[in-house]
Amino acid sequence: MSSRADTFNTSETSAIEQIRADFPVLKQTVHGKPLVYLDNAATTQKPQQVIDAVKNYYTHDNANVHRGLHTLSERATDQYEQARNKVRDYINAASSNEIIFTRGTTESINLVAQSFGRSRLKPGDEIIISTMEHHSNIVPWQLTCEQTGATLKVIPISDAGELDLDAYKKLLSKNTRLVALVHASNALGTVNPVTDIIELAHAQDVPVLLDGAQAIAHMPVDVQALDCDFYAFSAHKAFGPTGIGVLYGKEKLLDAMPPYQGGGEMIRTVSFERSEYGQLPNKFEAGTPHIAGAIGLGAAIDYISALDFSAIHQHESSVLEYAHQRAADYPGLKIIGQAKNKISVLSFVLDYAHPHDIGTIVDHEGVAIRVGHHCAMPLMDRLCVPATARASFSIYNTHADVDALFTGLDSVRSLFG
Amino acid sequence: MNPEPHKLYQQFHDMLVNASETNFDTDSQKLVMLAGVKEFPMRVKSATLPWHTINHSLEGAEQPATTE
Ligand SMILES: Cc1ncc(COP(=O)(O)O)c(C=O)c1O
Repeated sequence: MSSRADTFNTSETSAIEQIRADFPVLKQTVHGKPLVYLDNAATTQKPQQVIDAVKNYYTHDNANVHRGLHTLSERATDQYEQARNKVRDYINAASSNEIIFTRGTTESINLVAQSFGRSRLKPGDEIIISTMEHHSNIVPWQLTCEQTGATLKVIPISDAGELDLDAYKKLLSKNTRLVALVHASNALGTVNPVTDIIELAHAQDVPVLLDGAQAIAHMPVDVQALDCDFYAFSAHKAFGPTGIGVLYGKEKLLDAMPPYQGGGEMIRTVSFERSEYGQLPNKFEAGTPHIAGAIGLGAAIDYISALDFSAIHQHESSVLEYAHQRAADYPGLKIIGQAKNKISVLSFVLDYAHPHDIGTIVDHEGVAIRVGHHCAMPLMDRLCVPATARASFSIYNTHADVDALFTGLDSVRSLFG
Repeated sequence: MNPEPHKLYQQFHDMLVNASETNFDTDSQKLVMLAGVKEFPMRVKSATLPWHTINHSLEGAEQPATTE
């Protein structure tokens, strides 16, 4: 594949147009207006390269993996395992045994909560999360706590949407067994100071899980440099297919953990599969996996790797900065989430219109945004809003897309303002 | 149960969910203003939820109201 590393660096519209051309879904109109897709934190669109990878797999190579000796099965297994290696390299894991394919972030966190949490936690133990977590990094821990008698401790945040690190230091105690924290918030955009957080936890021998659902598409992630113990993400938020995601875990932790699905009975009745269960990463991949999904994720990684993150970052920051500028003096608009370090997410409320009305009206201008509680109801409570409207930007968004959003908001204002 | 609010609930619901012509009583005629919500299928729930809620509480239901 030819490198696109320079694509952004020219910082010309033509560079972005080249990227946009890779995403067929963007070439359509909605309610008679060109589609402006600003719901990337929910899921990103897929480039033709990913669509082709999935299509080619089903067209030429489809077979089950790890089971057949025939040619197609070998090809399928090969591509599936290559995808695992691509993930390993992409996040700089030490071994492909540390890459578990799951259905997504949610399943990855549930795997840790059940396998790691349930087998180790007891009454009096504590798990630390934060106020800005997505429900998928709250509810699995609540379930584990119910099952084990452990308790959940929550790091508070400031009004700007940043973690209170002093409070975190106080929460860390000899009872803490795990810190589970979002790397970048879907609802606010806040990028958390995870390096410091991990260092503080490790100083007390506490492992850290990062929810990388949002971070993965916006910044380079090096799990060894971060020294995180678990890292969870979904392919679909980084240009890959839905239904596939990753749990990274340090090998010595994963090795010591019991299987998440299947369980003891199954090992006993299907005794010739016992050895398969004993080994990483298969131990955690019971059943036929989403083979095409993994291959699609591999293609998505190829796609992002051919761009370059500093260029992606520069482009997305410039779009976000422009959105912030336009938002700053927009009548009745309040930005929700003003952290210094943010991914390209603009969450906001208007004092004269409910977010659901904002969403409906801008949709009629062709602009797709997310409205609601963003699966973060405790965060909405903390910020005293029932819901927000959220525009989230990706590599293919432009300043013109921001303008389209604000044209949509003008319609909201003329109706409600 | 008072038949009056229940009838209103039914009429309002039919107007949005079944898109039927609704002949409200003169007092309630203003509700026709909201007929346009049926053009926004995603929002029909928002418009009918308060009606479900009042209907529910008049029936003395124990479960929380839903639009399902
Ligand atoms: C921060 C965060 N965590 C977790 C999730 C859950 O991801 P998924 O639904 O792909 O499992 C999301 C996405 O909605 C998210 O934004």
